[in-house]
Amino acid sequence: MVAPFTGTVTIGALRTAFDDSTTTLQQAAQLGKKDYEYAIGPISTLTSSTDLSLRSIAFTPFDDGQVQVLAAHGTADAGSRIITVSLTVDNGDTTWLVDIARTKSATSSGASNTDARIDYRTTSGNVFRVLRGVRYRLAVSCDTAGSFSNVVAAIQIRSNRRRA
Amino acid sequence: MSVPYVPRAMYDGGNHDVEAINQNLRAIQRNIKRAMDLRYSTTPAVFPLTGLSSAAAASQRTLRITLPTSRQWQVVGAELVVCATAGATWSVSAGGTLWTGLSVATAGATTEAYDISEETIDPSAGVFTFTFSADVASTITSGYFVIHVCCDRGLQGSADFTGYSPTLLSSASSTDGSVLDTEMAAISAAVAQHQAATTDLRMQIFAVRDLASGGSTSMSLPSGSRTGTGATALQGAVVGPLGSTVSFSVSSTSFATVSKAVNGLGAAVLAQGSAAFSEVDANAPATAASDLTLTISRGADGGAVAPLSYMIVWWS
Repeated sequence: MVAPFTGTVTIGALRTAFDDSTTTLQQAAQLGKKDYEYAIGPISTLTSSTDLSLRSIAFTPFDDGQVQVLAAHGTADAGSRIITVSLTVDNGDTTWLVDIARTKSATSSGASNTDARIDYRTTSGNVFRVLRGVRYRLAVSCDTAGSFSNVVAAIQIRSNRRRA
Repeated sequence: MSVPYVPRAMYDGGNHDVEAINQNLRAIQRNIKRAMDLRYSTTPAVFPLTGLSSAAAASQRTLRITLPTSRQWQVVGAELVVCATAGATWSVSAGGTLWTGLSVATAGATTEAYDISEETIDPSAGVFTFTFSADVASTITSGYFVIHVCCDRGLQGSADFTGYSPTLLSSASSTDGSVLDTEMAAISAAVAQHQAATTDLRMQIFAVRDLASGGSTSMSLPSGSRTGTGATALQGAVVGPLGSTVSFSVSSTSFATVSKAVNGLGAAVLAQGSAAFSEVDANAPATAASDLTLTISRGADGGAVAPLSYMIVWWS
């Protein structure tokens, strides 16, 4: 910032200088929003009989975060196979996830990559957070006959900076 | 954070009110401090343990994390989940630290045994070394280790924050102009430090066991608000047979590839690659075509499987 006050100190220059500092601080604060994921996979083969322990991950966030997306994808062995990604509270408690659709399914159109994805970044629909200290479970499943290969599922979470 | 503001408006045609200006200088001091107080971010990383045998060499039962140069963060929590035939106790320790560690008593091949720690672990000479072991012969049918890390963006080496403390104006002074110049310069410098200290430090781990000659595996993650650090973007580790070369890459607008010839089974050969990456279409997690892809691949050297390969991607 150049030295604005040599000679006459003007109100306009003062106003500009003060506005600059507050605007810059606000803009820098927006840079604090960062995204990260919990992910499962790649799972080499996923069928309807794959045990939950092999197709899910349970985790306990150490900070609150806003859920951005749930996503899962895999390569189906044929058409009409259904892959589903889901988020639940690990002990079955619905308190923390009441009334929010937490699953997304997709049906394969053939022996091809199939992607199930639900976007919670909305200005008019449901938004929700995962909370510090609550144990969640992210799972992926094949809900039909047949199988998916090379399966990956993820939950993306957006965090803001916080105080210690 | 609360919206930064100054309490006294400066209107054209008004008089210079020394106390009004001083109130604004004090408010700016508070704004800057509040902004920098929001300096911590906490994120996880997951290391898979599926298929790990207690009889495996120590190098195959170890996760080694080397912090990028001049960067700092702490592990503030960890979780261990193991499914294995009942009768064994699996543990994880952190070498060179005072961490208590985690232990779980196995309860069945598909039954999760779980433990969690909220102890803070500082690195030993910039390195975290986690070692997994069992008290009796055991093989993990399904399992993973989650570490939760906390980063202080004010301690990332480039712009350690010092804040702003105003020299207030005095109505008896005849040098208000030069005092204001000095204060505006100090404010500008403090705000610039705050801007420069926007870099925190986060990581993603991607691992594969028993990677065959000529094999490759990849994981695609939704595009997000994320950029490579530009300093050290990749760390790769391999435990594999003589002559094998494993490559690690992040596919996006630019590649970062680290290759290391492995000189025989033994301690993990660590390689660190330096490259910046940014996502094809950052902040587009609903678009599969924008996904960030992590790939581990091995040359067709004809050797036996590489028991463990993992990459750590650093980003901010």
